[in-house]
Amino acid sequence: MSSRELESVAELGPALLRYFSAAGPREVAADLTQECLVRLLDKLQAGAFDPARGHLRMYAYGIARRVRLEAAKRHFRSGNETLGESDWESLPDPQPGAEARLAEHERSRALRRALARLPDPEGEILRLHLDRELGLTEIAGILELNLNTVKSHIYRAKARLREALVGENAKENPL
Amino acid sequence: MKDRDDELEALLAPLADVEATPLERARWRRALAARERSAWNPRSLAWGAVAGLVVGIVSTWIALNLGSAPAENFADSATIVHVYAKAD
Repeated sequence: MSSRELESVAELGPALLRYFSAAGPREVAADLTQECLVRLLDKLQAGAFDPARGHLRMYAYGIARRVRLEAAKRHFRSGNETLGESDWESLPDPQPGAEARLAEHERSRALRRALARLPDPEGEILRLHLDRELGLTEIAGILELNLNTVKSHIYRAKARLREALVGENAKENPL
Repeated sequence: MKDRDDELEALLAPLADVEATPLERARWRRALAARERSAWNPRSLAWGAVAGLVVGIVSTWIALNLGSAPAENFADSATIVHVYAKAD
């Protein structure tokens, strides 16, 4: 593999970090991003990626989905009572000053919580939508869904997200 | 132009500004480079084949030109076969 190809894999890191950060703590997201990039490299070296079937970015998100689901399963097996995005989201962030930083980004925290409660594929569509390089057609391709199905999921997800955010605001600022 | 949902984009904006730190980027690059070095990729296989061929050619040349024993042994066994054939 040429250094340019290796660079193109590494360049997907920040986008994958945003994807994983929307579902869990930053520290875990950075580790999962690395795991995903290494798996992508393995697949490329094994010749498993066919450029005729789609863009490398779309292929990378296919791997990212599996990595995320496996991480959620590992978290569940490690002794947590309930399975769900909200459990993974509640893992403590071990980075110093994490609480202070989270307090500064209270809105994004509330949004992440609300997003974590959304069932798939709605939550997954929204996480993929964080990547500005992906259009709805590409998101539909990654999830192997019809474009209109994706649009209707987005319509419902937006309503649920707004509702959840209103609920979060009410909890934080009681009268 | 990408087919995007602008309203959703605005709603998710607080999550979209997550940036990777230079330290994280460097860590990912190191992990990828280490993985590539350890992998059996086609390039390393090709270099391995070339190196194996060169070693094979050189050792055969040494055996035929510098080491007299293998050639003599070959001649001896040929003679023995010839003697046995005559005896039959």
